[in-house]
Amino acid sequence: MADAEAVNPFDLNKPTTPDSSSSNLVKGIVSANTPGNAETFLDAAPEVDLSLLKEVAPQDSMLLLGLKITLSVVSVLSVFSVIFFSSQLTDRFDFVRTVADFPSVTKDLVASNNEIVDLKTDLNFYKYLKAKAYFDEFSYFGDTYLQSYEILRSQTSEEAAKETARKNMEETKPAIAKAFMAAREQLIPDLEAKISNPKLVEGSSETLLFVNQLKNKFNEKATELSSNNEPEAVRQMKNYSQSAKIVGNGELRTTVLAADFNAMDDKQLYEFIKKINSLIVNDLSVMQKIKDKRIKWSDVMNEIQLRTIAVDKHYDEKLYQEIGGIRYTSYDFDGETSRISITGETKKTGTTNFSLIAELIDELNRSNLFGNASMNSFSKSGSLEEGYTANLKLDLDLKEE
Amino acid sequence: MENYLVQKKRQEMQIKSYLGITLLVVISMGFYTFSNWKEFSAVKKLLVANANYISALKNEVVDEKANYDGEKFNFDALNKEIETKLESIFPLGNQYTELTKQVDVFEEDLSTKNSVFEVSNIDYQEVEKGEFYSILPMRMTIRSSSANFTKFLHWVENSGALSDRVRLMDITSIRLNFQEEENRDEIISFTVQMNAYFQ
Repeated sequence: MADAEAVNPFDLNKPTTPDSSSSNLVKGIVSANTPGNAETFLDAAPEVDLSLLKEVAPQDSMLLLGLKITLSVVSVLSVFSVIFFSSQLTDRFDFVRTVADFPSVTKDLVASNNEIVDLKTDLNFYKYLKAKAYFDEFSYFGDTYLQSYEILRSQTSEEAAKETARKNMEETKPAIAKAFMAAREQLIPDLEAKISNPKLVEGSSETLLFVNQLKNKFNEKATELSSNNEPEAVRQMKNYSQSAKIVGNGELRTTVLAADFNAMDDKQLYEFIKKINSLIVNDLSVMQKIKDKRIKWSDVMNEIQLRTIAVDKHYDEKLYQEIGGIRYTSYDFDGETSRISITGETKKTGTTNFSLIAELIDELNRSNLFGNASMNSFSKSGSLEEGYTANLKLDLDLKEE
Repeated sequence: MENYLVQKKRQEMQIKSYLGITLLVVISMGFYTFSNWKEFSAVKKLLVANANYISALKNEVVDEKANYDGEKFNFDALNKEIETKLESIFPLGNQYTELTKQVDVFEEDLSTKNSVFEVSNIDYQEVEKGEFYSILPMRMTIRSSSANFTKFLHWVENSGALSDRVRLMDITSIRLNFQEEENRDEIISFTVQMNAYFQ
């Protein structure tokens, strides 16, 4: 209900401080008209329904409205921005992409990077097939060169054989150089292509990614042919498998790229061919490994002969019966233990048989081919008139070259 | 009366709040959008670069394949030549009959009345299989002149060369005895343990 003392709120602005003159005037009028009992000439003040004021609200602010609209627009744009960039730059919306196909620059980049990897692998595939073929050629002509060099260096080869070997070396050298340079050219470019998406690398280096891709391609090609027994298929399968062994062979690439072929002399070229053969895999390189383990028994026997002549200068003149000296009766060469046993005898007109044997032991130990030459027991028989004969039983080790 | 004032104040507060929130959203989303746009633009540029690179790579692959195919005939010819030579040098099986024939031919070529070379025994042993190659061990007993003995050693030492087509072999041990001289030429009787290799 309205309060009796409540006033119209629009009067609130009027001064409330009582004016003394107006107050007196009102008092006079009231007192003149009310001699006895007080008579009211105005009705009671109307009650104001203040509840109506509750309906009065401040006028809508255009600024606020504008801000609300702006915020709404900005919010919607923000949502669109988040959705757009998330779909383009992340995989958060991949589940939607499975239903509705829509473009994504990240996915496009991954796809184009994959295409680059595949294409570069194809390119590497043909390059390494060619490199393998040139290395085969290198090993093929290198085989003749190696054999010829060994004949030329052998102490026991005949002069005619050495001359042929020298000629073969000169003839094969240009072919070896040509094959080598062609193989080298294939290995110069890097295996990897520049790709921008680290997701493709998956924690490994880019080089390793391309190495594995190429190896897989060769192995897949070989597997495809594994069930085919046709000679051509078997040949191709072997070719793919052996090509895979070149891929990622850092030592081979470094050796090939660092080599100055034209500056090599015969010995350096001989060693270089053997080195390359040890780093690649083909039938010839497998054979080379076997050849490298072989012992040159002819050189071993020749060395024993030369060392014996150094002690007994008539050894190779077959005058043992007449003037004595050293004579061997048996050799026992064991390649697996690298041990050599020699038996024989020495004959001297004097008594110094043991010294002759001791000199022979020292001489053998001076050789680069032998070591640990020894004879533990010395014995001789005979007389000053007929001369003395001593038994010879030497054991020595064959040194690794 | 109070409600009006309250509402008025509330309105002012709302204006301030909306203004603040709007500014905050604009700034943060502006930053977010700007940084992502930069990344998006960079990816777009990479896509263009990749497209050019792919085009160049495709051409390279076509050229390289054509180049390889052009030379493949020569490569295959060399492989076949090597294969043919390997049939006698490094055969697919132990091929002991072919090896026996090779030893026989060598003996025949070498042996003369004045310089003997006689293979009296060949004993083939159990094959040893390896990862990259297999071995056919064999023992031979030979009677030979000194000169022919050296030639025999050379024959084995140089075996496996593509130019000679002699079966790849090596000697693991030799036991030899020198006999009394006959016509001033020393005769050597020896037993040699050898390996003949095959694939």
